Amino acid sequence: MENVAPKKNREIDQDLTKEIRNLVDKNHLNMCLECGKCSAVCPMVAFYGGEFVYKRSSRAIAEMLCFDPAGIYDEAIWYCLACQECTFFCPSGVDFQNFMIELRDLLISRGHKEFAHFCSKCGGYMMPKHQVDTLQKNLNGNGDLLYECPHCTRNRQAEVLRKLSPKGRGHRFNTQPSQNQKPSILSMIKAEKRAGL
Amino acid sequence: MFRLNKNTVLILGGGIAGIQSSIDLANMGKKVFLVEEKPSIGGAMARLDKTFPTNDCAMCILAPKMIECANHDNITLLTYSKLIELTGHSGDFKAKILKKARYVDSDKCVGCGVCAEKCPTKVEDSFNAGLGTRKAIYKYFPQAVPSTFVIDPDHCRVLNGKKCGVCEKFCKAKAINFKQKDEEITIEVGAVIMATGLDLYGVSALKEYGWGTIKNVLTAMQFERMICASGPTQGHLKKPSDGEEPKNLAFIQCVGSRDVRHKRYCSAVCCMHATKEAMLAHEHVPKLTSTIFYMDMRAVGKGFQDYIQRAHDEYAVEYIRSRPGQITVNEETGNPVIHFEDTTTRELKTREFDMVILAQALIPSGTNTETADNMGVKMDEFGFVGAPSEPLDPFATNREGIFACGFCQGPMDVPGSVVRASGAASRVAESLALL
Amino acid sequence: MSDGIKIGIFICHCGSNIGGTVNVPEVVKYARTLPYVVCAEDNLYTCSEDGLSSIRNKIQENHLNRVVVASCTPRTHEGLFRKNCERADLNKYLFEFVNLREHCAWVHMNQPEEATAKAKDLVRMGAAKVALLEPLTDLSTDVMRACLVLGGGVSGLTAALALANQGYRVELVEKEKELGGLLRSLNRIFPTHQPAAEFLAPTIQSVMAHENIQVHLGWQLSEIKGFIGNYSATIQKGDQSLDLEVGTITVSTGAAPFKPDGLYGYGRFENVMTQLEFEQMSIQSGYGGFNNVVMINCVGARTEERSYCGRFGCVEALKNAILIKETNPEARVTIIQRDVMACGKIYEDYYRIALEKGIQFVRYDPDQPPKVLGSDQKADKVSVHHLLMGQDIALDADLVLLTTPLVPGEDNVSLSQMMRIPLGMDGFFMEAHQKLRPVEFPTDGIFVAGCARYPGEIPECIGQAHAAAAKAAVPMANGMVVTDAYTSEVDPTRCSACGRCIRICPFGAVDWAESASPQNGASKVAKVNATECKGCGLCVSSCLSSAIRLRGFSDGQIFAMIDNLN
Repeated sequence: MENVAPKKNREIDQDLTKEIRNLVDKNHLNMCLECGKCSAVCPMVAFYGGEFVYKRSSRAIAEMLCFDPAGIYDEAIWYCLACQECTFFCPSGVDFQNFMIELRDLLISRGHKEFAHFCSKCGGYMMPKHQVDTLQKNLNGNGDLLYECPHCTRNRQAEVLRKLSPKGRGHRFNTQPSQNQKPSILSMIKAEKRAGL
Repeated sequence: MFRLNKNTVLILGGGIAGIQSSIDLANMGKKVFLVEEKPSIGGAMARLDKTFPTNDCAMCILAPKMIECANHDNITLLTYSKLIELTGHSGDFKAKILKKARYVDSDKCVGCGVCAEKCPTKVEDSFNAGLGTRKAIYKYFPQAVPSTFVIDPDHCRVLNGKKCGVCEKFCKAKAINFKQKDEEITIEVGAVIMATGLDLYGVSALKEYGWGTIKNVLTAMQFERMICASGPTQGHLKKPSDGEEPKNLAFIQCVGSRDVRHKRYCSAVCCMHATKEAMLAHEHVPKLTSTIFYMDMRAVGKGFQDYIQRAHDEYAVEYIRSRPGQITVNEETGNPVIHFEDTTTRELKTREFDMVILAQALIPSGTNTETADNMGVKMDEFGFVGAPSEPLDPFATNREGIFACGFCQGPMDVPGSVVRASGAASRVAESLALL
Repeated sequence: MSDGIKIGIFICHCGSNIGGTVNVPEVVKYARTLPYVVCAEDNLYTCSEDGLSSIRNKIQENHLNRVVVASCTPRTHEGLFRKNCERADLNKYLFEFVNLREHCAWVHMNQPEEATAKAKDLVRMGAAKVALLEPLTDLSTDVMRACLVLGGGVSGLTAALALANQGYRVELVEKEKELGGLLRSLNRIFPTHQPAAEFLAPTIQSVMAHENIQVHLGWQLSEIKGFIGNYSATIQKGDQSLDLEVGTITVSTGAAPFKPDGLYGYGRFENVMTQLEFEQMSIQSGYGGFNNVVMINCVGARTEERSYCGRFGCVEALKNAILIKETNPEARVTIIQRDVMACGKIYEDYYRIALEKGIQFVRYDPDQPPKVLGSDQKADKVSVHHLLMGQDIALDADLVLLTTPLVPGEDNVSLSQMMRIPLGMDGFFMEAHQKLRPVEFPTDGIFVAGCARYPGEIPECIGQAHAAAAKAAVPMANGMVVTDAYTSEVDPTRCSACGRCIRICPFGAVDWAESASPQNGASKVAKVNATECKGCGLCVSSCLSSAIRLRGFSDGQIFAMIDNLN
């Protein structure tokens, strides 16, 4: 049978390994029985199919981390939409969605940002770099939206509304991105739809 | 009030475990009261077509035991009855049993069935898992023991104040009695055995599999009833969507079992019964192929591995290690389409099947909770009767003098239940001897 | 036959089962024309109270001395109708059952005319036979209230206590010098992790102290004579010999551990051992001291050579893995498996505990088994193709545990021959019926429990031991067994002592006996033990000298039926 090990481009340091182990425990990745239900409901797997499945599905990532933690440097882990389908359907109780969000935060905080795309205004993580290309094609050149995260967009719109209010009074919106905010592609697309774009 | 000596035992549940326990104790000379809530003894085994790994006809091996139970001098059958209270202690229990009114006199009824032929009211048949109908006056299944008919008070026209009485008119034995009342009896026993058996988990909770919305998705019990010669289709496999014979089947294992969102335990028998059903289907339709989607093929018993191998080699059964994500419908054919990842080849696939059978989780009998509460017996979170000192005493409950055997303790198959049933009989005999 | 024969024929409609295809009234009319038939009638359900009392009334009114019921299958109601005849003071063996349902109506559902004609034939044949039946009496045999328990492992100990507590005498025979069997080699029991000794010691003490149990340590069974209720067992120890008289026997001789010689480096590397060997080691040295533990499941099980599954191997591996991980949380423990057989509620939760602790599971394909690599008699790596990841992985290993199944005990073959109890193809004892008689043998009075029948975990073995005790208690509680009178009998003057019938009997009911008058130079003849005989007739058809006769199915009776076929 073919050998499909992910590309290992660097060694992983002990500290990072320990942090990842913590995330694995916290999100119950240990409980994975490799049944494949997550891959079957994952919209990214359905979209990409083929190669994507064995390299980048939730199951594959969980397995990879057990046997070869250096696999986290693979582009694969940045494809997840964090849509929560896998977590919802997982019969073993693995919270893969939360794990991916926390893992990516961890990698970004350690400076492993080459696959990530950030808001040009506040610097918060927005989406994987490869998604920028895909979305650009579909937004008919309204690419500006890809460079500002939903939070910053809201703030900008809030400023406009405040100026328009009768006595110049109005809510002072919080201009700092909240620590707990986890923007996702889905919420971004929904925000755009709401704004009629 | 039945005042008897300490050599009397109350057995709750008339499935194979309860029946086996009764016969063993009765043969030892003890007096047994066998209480069963349904109108007939037989339990889940009476609903099966064949049993693994011998593929014996279930009713053929069960019926002689049911009759032995009914005819045994030392066994009193109390069917269509339930326990409402148990007081006392080991060696001296007082049990209050409610005998529900059948509205048919069991001394007169000969089981001829004319009443059911004439009855105008059709009701969904729960014995046949919702496939087909029965009448408001009915025999639970053709080989029911006792064979007395029973009137369903929820659906009978007369019992709901409407005009009818057709059954009464046509009954030659004059056995219909709409004035019959529920009866409460009290019996004194030395020990109690719980053998309340199993029920089926409602798989409509797993919306991703479409049971209830997609026509050709059935539960395993529905399939058993369909393939059984005495069932609603006389043993012919028919797709619910168009009545045609299926050419291929899919079985999905662990539907509701091994699932933290539903029941996290394993139901123990589904791997084997799915294989059995695939084999039977192939016997009925020689060119039929089956695909079983599983996680672990749990065939641990004697002869079970050979059974699985035979199914694979001789009955066109394919095993795919996968837990499907969802089932959709092919609008044109009405057939279910399964979306899954084949975990051994890591490919995402969709495959259309004529019929999909879901191996539903098995749960402790629905009235188990009520019965256990009425007796002060502790259950675990799932409703299984706890055995606090397992493995040392696999029959004990938290109450001395009350024992348990069979599925109500935990998922197990027929041989396991039969062993436990005889074992519980021995424990009861021991405990009565030590009094 | 005598002129005094008066036959009553009762034909059943069986609801519409028979009446729906066969024209029952026509058959009744025909039956009345048969020789010696005094009365014939039909019933809707002959087995109902109405039908039965009608038969009793007719017996008394017409002074019937033979009864034929033509209805369903004797399997369900033969006992009922025989008892019914007895209630009317008619010997129950002057009754004949004709099957018009399975043998006629049900198999000719679309041919009512032919079915009716066949029904008439069957009734005529039944009437011809019943005229030749003789009154017989059931045989009642005393049963000694004592049981021989072979094997003093957990199953034997449990069965012994269960029976002794009910007041029966138990002779417990154990070939080793100590009681306990395989349990003595275990450290802790799953899933509670209590020490095996904690369970075993008090049990052994109870057995040794029990006034109803006689323990024979270091003795082995060498011969068994007799039949249910009256067994005479000879046990031996060195050159000593002892006879035990018992009524029933429980076989709980257990099974043997498998030695995977030549597999996965076993025997070559000192740190490769079986789960059981590790258990024994851990009793002395505990569960610590290992950093990389790799377990390989299904070693010597589920193979071409041995197709069965060891049943509790997976859970045993889980137990040792959990205990190792609890002792050293930093250790890396990996279980290489084909399926994880953690069935039911308790074991599935146990599996989840193992997962939560970080024990890893790698699935392998039996066509690509793992390889254990090492040097200098020490294994240090296990490489395997991870079937679900699709890649080869290499695991460091300082301890490799092989999960092996139990195999049939070495004495199974000799015990099987001694007691004439069957062995299955797998070498374990073969029970009477896999579903409904899991602890019994076709031979009455002998029962089986525990791993002698098939590998089982402790609760299962305890359950079976209690079940066997229940079955053994039945004849002992009653103090006797009553056997059906339809048994066979050897005519010693015709027996040529060829031994065919002895070999062919599945119930061990035929044996040699001294010949009263030796014929053809034979000093012994075959003799049927009516208590054990089930009336199957195999001996009758095997006898080349026509020396055996089966009561209730004599040649004369069968030829009468054949003659009346047309």
